[in-house]
Amino acid sequence: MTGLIDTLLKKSGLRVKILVATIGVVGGFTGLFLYQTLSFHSKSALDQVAEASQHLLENTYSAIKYPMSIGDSTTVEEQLKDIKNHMEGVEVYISDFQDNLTYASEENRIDTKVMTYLWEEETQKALSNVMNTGQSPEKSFREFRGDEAFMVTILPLLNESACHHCHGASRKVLGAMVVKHPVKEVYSALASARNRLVGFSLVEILGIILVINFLFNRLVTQRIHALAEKTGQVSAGDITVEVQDDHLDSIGWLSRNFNQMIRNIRDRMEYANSLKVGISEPFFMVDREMMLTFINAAAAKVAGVRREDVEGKKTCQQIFKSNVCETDCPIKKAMDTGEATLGQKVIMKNAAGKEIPNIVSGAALKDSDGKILGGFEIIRDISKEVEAELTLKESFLKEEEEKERLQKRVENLSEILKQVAAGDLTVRAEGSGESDAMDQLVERTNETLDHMKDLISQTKKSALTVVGGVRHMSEGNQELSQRTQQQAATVEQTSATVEELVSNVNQNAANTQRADSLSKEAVAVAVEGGETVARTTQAMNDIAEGSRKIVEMMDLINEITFQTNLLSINAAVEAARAGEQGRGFAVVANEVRNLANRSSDASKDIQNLVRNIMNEVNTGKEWVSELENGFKRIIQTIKQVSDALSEVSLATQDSSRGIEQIGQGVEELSDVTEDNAALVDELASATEQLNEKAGLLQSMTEKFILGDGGDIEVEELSFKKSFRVPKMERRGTKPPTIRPLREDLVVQQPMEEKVEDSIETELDEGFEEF
Amino acid sequence: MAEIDQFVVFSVNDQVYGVEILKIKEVVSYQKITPLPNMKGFIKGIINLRGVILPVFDLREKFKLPDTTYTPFHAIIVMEISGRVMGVVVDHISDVVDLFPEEVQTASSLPPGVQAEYIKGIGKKKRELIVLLDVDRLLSPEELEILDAT
Repeated sequence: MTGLIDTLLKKSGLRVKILVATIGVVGGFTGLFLYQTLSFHSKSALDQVAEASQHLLENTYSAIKYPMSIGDSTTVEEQLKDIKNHMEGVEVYISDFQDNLTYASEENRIDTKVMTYLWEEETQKALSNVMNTGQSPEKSFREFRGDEAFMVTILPLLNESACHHCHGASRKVLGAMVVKHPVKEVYSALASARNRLVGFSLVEILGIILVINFLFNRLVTQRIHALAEKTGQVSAGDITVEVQDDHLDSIGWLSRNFNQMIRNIRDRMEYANSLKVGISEPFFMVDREMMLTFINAAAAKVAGVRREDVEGKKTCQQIFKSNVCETDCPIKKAMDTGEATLGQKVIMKNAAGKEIPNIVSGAALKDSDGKILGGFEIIRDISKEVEAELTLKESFLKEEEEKERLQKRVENLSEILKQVAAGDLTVRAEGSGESDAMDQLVERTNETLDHMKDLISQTKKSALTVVGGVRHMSEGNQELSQRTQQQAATVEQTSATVEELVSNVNQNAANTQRADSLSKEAVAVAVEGGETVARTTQAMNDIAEGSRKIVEMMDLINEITFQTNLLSINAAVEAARAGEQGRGFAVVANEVRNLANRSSDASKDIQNLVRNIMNEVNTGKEWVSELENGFKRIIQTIKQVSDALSEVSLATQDSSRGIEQIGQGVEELSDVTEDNAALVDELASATEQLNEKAGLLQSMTEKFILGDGGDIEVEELSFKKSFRVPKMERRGTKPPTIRPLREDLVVQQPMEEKVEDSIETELDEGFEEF
Repeated sequence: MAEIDQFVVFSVNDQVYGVEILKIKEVVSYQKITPLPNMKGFIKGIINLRGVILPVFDLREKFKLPDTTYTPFHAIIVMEISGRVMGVVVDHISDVVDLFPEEVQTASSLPPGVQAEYIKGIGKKKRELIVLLDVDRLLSPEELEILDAT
């Protein structure tokens, strides 16, 4: 049952609840009040009747007391008759102690029993009690028969001393007197009063309920209903609502607080929107299905789309076509983990299909419960950086290639010289046709080999003609020595060139560093320029302010000029009135007027000038602002240059290492040249042993493979010759000295003579030995 | 020596007018005109010029020209018209010029069609035409009656 009431209460509206409560309370209180009023009314009415009966009884008793005491029955009867005549419906009975009626207002009832006229048992008992005890019952009794109603009052007639002469003194109670007072009318009056009261009460209850309900509806229900409606709109997402309620009660405050809440919500949304709009980097937002909800102008430009074509219509994958959309989307990651993903490198395709490398950062958008509603992503275009990286990589590869080629060429040469060292003089190194230092080295080596080949060939020929041959051999050896020196010098030169190359590369590195520091200086200068521009802006503002002050002052001057003009005209008027006497004064007035007119013209000119100045200043301000932007761009560009220079510096260091390896190659070459010198030495010693081992000459000369025409039979060989190739200077110890060949010849002249001499003697000895 | 007349020159609605200097009492800068109740016709109100109350009217209204906004650079010319001293509001007071008789073309010799009611003549100075007003004929007898009633 209570459950049912609860359900009904929950389902019914506020108005119904208050109506039910009002009916209950008002009905309850009014019912209670009605009951109290009715019972009080009927009791007091009946009490009045009872009192009236008592009075009647007592009055009647007083009236008949005396006649009865003197036995005047006629007077008593008259009295009672009188009562009957004057008081309608009132019955008075006087009985003796045996209940026999002695006197009665109804004469025909005399000598009957009083009990016959008392209907209720209680009354009859009270009468017998009065008869027996002589005590008044102190209350009246009600009697009903059909629609008749009476109030019965009983009084004992006691045996007083005045009665003793007739009744004796033996009995205490002589009889009783009974008055029956009709109360039918009182009851009917009470009933009609009750009906009226109940009717009025019902009307009153209805009225109170209607008034309370009306007031409650007007002051509470309607306003709460309006508030509920507005809050419903807010929860449906409309935050433009406002509740109009200027009452100063709780609902009024509730409405105003609600309005403030809505304003706060709007403020927060506006704050979020401002943030969203204020981001200048490419930026977009998506919902959980990756559908674009917002894309700013920069992002739309990167993707090559129009905002209104894509917002709410396309997913981010459809417009950016990034390489990570399927596998490693930063927004998806952020939405899955709730953590922001920072600085991910991706390649996007714009609407034209062009690939753009970007660095992107994504993060999730959450509501107050931490539930993820969507995400956003900030994009940074790095295509320029990637391009620079590629260029650097290419140049590095090119350097590597160069280095490898040079090494290969040195290795080739080394291989040739190895064969030459093994005695094969038919081999020749091949140049690359680039006529660089390496090619020169190759050429010199080939020349050397040619000469060696000629020399050995000549040696072989010289063996045929001993003396001439020995001389020729000596000369040949001399020449060989010179060539070897030349070769050493050439190698030295190559070494020096490589050295120079190293120093060039180092110079390059130094230059790059200087360029880097210059670019940093340029940044500082540009920043200083920016500050100067800011000071210029301030100066221009000062000029504008000054111009405004001038304009204000010009107004004052205009005023003074105008007043002066007026004064001069007044002076002219006065002068004219004065006639001839005022002539001089008129001239002065004229001059003053001219002055006033001139100053008026001048002030107009000044005002125009100041206006022009202000226009110029405004134009200047625009230019300065452009200049400021220009400086900002310069600083950015120089910073990029500085970064690129650092990369170049690194590449140069690599180059330096490569060239050092070339230097080692040249050193090896130098060693080979030394081997050549040793070979020449060997040749000399072989020549020395010609005398004793002429027979071995054939086999010795056969060591050398000279190709066609070079191999001839040696008939006779006997001479002794030894000379050494001067030890070569090692690379890097001191710069190479290139001496003219003639100088060497001059210096070695005496030695040559000596050699010739020794050859003579050795020849003799050799021949002798032979 | 020929008689030279002096004229105070002013402008109303960019047209230059001249009035004989001896008709002029004084020239003052514009001050606030106090309107009178039950003002009639062309009278604009009164001003207090050093304790003397003067009636004022505006030549613009008299010549039925469009209204303008008054600035401190407007001027009130106090002049004698048909024996009555009163103030006349004009747009701009510029100069006092001397006109030789040969520089003045009298009203009677003006070409027909030029309204000559208030005009005394036309002054020609440096290619500028100055309309010379006959101030005594500026106000009609009816207007003078209204003025006297005020």
